Amino acid sequence: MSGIKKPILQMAGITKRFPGTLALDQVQLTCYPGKVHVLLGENGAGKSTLVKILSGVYTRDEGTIEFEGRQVNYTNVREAMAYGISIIHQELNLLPERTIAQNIYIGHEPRNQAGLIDYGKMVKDSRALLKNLGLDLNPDDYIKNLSIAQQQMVEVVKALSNRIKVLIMDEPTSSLTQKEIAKLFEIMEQLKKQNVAIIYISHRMDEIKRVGDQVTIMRDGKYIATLDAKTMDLDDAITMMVGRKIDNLYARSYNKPGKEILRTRDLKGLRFRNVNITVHEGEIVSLSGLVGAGRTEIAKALFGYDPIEEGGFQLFGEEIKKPSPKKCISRGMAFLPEDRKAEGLHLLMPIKENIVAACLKKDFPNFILNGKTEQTLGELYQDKLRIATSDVDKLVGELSGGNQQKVVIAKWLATSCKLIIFDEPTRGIDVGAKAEIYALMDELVSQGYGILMISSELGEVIGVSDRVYVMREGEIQAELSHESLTQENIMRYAI
Amino acid sequence: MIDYFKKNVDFLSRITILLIIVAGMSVINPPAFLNWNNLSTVMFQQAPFTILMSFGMTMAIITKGIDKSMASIVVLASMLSGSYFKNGNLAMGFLIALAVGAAAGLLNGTLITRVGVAPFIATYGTDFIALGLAYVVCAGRYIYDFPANFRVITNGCFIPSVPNIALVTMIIFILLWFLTRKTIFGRSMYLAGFNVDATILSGIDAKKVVTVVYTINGLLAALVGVLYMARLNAADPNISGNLCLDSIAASLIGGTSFGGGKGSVSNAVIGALIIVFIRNGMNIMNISTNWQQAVVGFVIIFSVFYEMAIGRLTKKRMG
Amino acid sequence: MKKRIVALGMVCIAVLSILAGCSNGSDKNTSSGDAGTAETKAVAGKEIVCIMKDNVTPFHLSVAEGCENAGAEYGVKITVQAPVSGAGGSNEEQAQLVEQAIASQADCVVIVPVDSEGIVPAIKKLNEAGIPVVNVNTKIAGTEAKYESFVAIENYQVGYQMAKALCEAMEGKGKMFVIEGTTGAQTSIDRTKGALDAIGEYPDIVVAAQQSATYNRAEAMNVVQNLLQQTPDVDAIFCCNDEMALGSAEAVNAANKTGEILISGVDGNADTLVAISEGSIYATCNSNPVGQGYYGVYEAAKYLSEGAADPTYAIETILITAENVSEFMD
Repeated sequence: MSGIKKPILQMAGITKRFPGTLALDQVQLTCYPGKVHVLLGENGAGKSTLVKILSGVYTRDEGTIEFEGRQVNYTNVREAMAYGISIIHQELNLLPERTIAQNIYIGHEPRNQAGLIDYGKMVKDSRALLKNLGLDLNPDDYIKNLSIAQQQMVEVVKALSNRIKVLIMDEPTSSLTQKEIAKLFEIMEQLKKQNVAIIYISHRMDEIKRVGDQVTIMRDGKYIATLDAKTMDLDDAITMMVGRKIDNLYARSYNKPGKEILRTRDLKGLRFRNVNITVHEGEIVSLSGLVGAGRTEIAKALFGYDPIEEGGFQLFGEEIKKPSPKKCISRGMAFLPEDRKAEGLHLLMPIKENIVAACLKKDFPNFILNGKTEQTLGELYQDKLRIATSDVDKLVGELSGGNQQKVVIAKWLATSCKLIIFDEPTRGIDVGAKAEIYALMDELVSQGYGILMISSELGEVIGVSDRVYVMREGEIQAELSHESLTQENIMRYAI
Repeated sequence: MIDYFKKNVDFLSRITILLIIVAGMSVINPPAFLNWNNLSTVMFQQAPFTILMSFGMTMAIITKGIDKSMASIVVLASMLSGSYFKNGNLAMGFLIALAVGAAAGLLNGTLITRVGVAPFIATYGTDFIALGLAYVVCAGRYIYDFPANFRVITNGCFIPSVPNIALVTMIIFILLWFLTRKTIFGRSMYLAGFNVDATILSGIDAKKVVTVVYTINGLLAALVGVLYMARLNAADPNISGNLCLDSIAASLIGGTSFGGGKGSVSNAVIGALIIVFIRNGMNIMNISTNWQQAVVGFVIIFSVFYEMAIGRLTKKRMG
Repeated sequence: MKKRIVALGMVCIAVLSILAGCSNGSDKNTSSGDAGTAETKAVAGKEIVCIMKDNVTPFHLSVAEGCENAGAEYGVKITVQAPVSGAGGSNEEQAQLVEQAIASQADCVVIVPVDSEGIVPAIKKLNEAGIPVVNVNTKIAGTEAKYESFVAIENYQVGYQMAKALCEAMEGKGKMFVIEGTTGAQTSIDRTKGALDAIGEYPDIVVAAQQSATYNRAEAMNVVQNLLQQTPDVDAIFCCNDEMALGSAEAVNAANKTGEILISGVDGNADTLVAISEGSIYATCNSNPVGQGYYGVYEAAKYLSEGAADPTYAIETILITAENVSEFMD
C-alpha cells in the first residue's frame, strides 16, 4: 500500500539566501505518512537549513510548502508545531534540573480547574507516553541523571506529547552506542505504525538502508535526486553526494617521506584507545571517520590539552612525558583547532599580535616586547601567506574565514614547529580559499614539515592525504595509502 | 597625527570627559575649585589611593575576573604592620605589609586558577577573611599618631610641591604601564583575558599569569594600606569604606570591560580622577555626600553607553 | 604546585602568629564609677544578652566592657553580641541576634540599636516573648516597641554643649563646618540639632558647610580637605563624633593650619585625648561608654530583681579640653 498513500508534505522550489551565500537553491522534498525519509549530504549541503525552514526556525525566500494538501505559510516554531511538525535538534534541548515529566510537557503543561499546573496528571500522562514506546523510564527522574541516549528518548517523547504528524530528527545517532541506536530504531518503527512521517538526517551510510524508505540527496544547497532507499546503490549515492570536480582543487606533489616525526604507542584517552600512528617529514597523514569517532580527542591529547590515560608518543624520537601545549610547542608541534574562533584566535586583537602569540618566548627572549620586531614578523607572514589585509594592526575578527585560518597558520609557522596538526582546516571556508589552504599544506610538506590532518570532508581527505587512518568509535580501523583512497573504501571502515 | 588620534580615540575621549567635568566644576565655583591648591590636593593627595586600587582592579578585570578583596587587604596589611611603623621600624613594617598582601593575593590566584573557584567568589571569601582578621588584630584599639619619619612617605615632598604619595603613584604607574604594555607578561595577560583557551593552546601558562596578576593586586593593596596609614595618621579598620567600589567604578569609567581583555592602566588613572573630582566638586558645592553615590552610579552607566557608542563608531571606521 | 601550597601554608602560619601576638595586651580597665545599689540577691545566675552596635569601634567595645563589669559585680551571666559586618553595624544582623536571644530564652536583653526605626519589629518580638528590654545609647523609635529603661547621654544636649564650647572659644564670631555622622542615624540628627541651636544663639557665627562623613575618620579627612578649598578661613569644625574629629584634624594638618582651626568631637576616645593634649583638637566630651554599658546592665538587673527600672537614666558628660585632659588619660 506504500505507493498509494497521499503525501502528507510537499516542499517545492525552496530557496533561502543568507548574506553572501545561497544556502538553498530550488530544493524539493516529499514525505509520506508512516515512512522514513532520509536527507543525505555533506556538511554545508543545506540539510539543516531545509529542516529549519520546515520546522519554522527560518522562513523561506521562495518556494511552497503543502501540508495535507493545503498551502501553509507559518513563520515560527509554535505555528509549525500546531500543524503537527516537530523537530529534535542535534543538540538536546532539555532542562537538566527538571524531571522527565516536566520536560515532556514544557510549554504546554496540563492545568487543573484552578489554572495551576497539574503535576499528577502530567506524571500520569508521561508514564502512558513512555510505556506506549516501550520505554522503562520513571517520569519523576531528573534529566541530569539520564544517559545521553535516554535523554534522546525523552526528546522523542516530548515531540510526541504534541499531536504530531511529521517528526524531524537531525543526526540523532551521532552520540549513541550501537545498542542505543537499535533502541531508537525500534521507537521509529513504533512511530511509523502510528502513521508519523519521519525526516531523518544522518551521516551514517549504514543506517540508511536499515531505517530509510526514501532518500533525498543534496549537495551545495541544491537538490540532486530522490531514490528508493531499499534499492539504491550506496556508491552511487556517495558519488552524488560528494560529486564535485576534485582535480583542480587539490594540487599535490607527492614527495618521498623523510624521517619519522611522530610515533604513538597504544595511546588511550578521552574517546579513543589503542591508537598507533606515525607521521613523517614531507607527508600529510589524515585521520578520517565520522564525527565523534575520537579524532579531535587524539589531537588534543597529543598537544597536551586533554589527558592521556595510557600509552605515550615520541616526537622526533624523544618521548614526551606529561605533554602540555607549552612543552609540545617547544618540541616543535603545532595545533590548528577545529573551532578556530574559540580556540585558535584572539578575534579582538590585532593580526600581528595573534601571529606572535605562540612565539613570544622565542622571539623576545629578554621578556620585553619590541614593536618593530612584531611589525616585521606580522608583515613577513602577511606576505608569505598572502593574508588579505591592508594593515597587520587590524583586528583578526575583521578578516574572512580563509584569512583567519591563514593567521592561525602564520602563528604556528612563526614558532619553530615541524609537525602541524590541522583539525578541520577548511571548515566554514569558501572554495577559493580552500584551494589556497591546500596549496599551502602541500608547500609546507615540500619544505619538510609533517602534517596530521583531521577532516570530515571525504573529498579533502582523498585529495590531500599521503596516508589515511580510518577511525570508528575511538579505534583505528584501517591504514590506507593515497593510491587506494576512494570514498567507498574509507566509508567501509568508517561505518 | 590623525592616525594617532584614531588609534587612541578611546583614551583621548575619556580625557575629554574628565576635562568636561573639571570645566563644569570650574564654571560653577571657580574660586574654590579652579585653583592650583585645590587641583593639586585632589590629584596629589586624594586621587593616588583610588588610582593605585584601580590599577589592580583593572588588571583583574582584564583577565575576566574581579578583585573584591583588595580593600580588605589594605586594612589587614595596615593593621598588621601598623605597630612596627609606629615604633619606627619601617623596614619590618614594609616587609610585613607586603608579605600579607602577597600572601592574600597568592591565595586569590591559587583559588581561582588551581581550585577553579570563580574570581568573584574567591576574592569575596578572601575579603571576609582579611577584614575579619583585621578586626581581630585591632580589637577596637586603633594605632594613632605615627612618627614623622613614617608620615613623610605620604606627605613629604622629595620633589618640591609634589607630595611623595603622588611620586610613588607615578612610579607605580610607569612600572605597571611598562609591565602590561611592553612585556611578554602583559601581552599574556591580555591574551588570556580575550580568550583563555586560545591562549593556553598557544603555549602560554595562563594560570600562572592570572595568579601573578592577583599577587600584584595584593601587593598594591598592601602598599595602599601603608600609604593610607601615613596620610590618616592612624591604622583604622574602617578605611576600606569606598575603596573597593570606587576602584571598580574607576575601572568601568576608564573603559575596562567585564568581557575581558579590554582596558589599560592609563585609562584607570583617568577613571579614578573622574571619580575623585566628582567627590571633590560636590563637597565644595556643599551638596550632601549621599548624592555622590548617585552621581558616581550615573557616571558608570553613562560610561557604558558611551562605550557602546565608541564601539559603533570604531566599527564604522573599520568597515 | 605542591611547593606553592607549602609556601602558602607557611605564609598563613606566619600571619596567624603575628595576629596572635598583637591581639592581646590592649585591655584597659576603666572603672565604671560608683555602682549604685541594685538588689543583687535575686538576679544571680540570670542571663542578660547585650547586643552592641558593632564589634570594631572603640566606643562600642567600651560599652561592652561596661556591661561585663556590671555583670561581674551582680553575678549575672553577660553574653555580649554584635553584628560582625564592620563599623556602624547592621540592622539585619541585630534582628537575627535578637531572635537568637529569644530562642536561647535570655532573661533580659540590653540593646544599642544600629537603626532606631529598623529595630522596632525585633523589639516587638521580644515584647511578645515576654523578655524585658533595656535600651542603651540610641533611642528606639516610636511608642510601639516597649522597653523598661533608656540609658544614654542626651545627644541633643551633647551637641549643644560642644558647639557652645566652640562658639565661646571663637569669641562669638566666625565660620564653622558641621560634620554629621551617618545620614539618618538618630545620634547624628540629635547632636546636629543641638549644635545648630547653640550656633543660632551667636548671630555672628555662620555655618559655612554642613556635610556627612558617615562617622568615619578617612571619609572626614577627605570631606574636610575639600571643604577647606571652599572656605579656607574657617574658624571651627564641629564633628558628631571623635573619629571624624580626628580625620578633620589630619585634613587641617595637611593644610598646615593645625592650631588655627578649632575642632570638636564627641565620645572622648583615647586617640582624641592624645590629639587634645597635642593641640590638634580643641575639645571633646566624655560620653562615658563604659558607664553606658554599666548602667544598661544595672537597670536590667534592677528590673529583674525589683520588677521595675528607671524609665530613663541620663549618663553625665564632661567637657574635655587641654585644661583637664590629663585627668582622663591613662
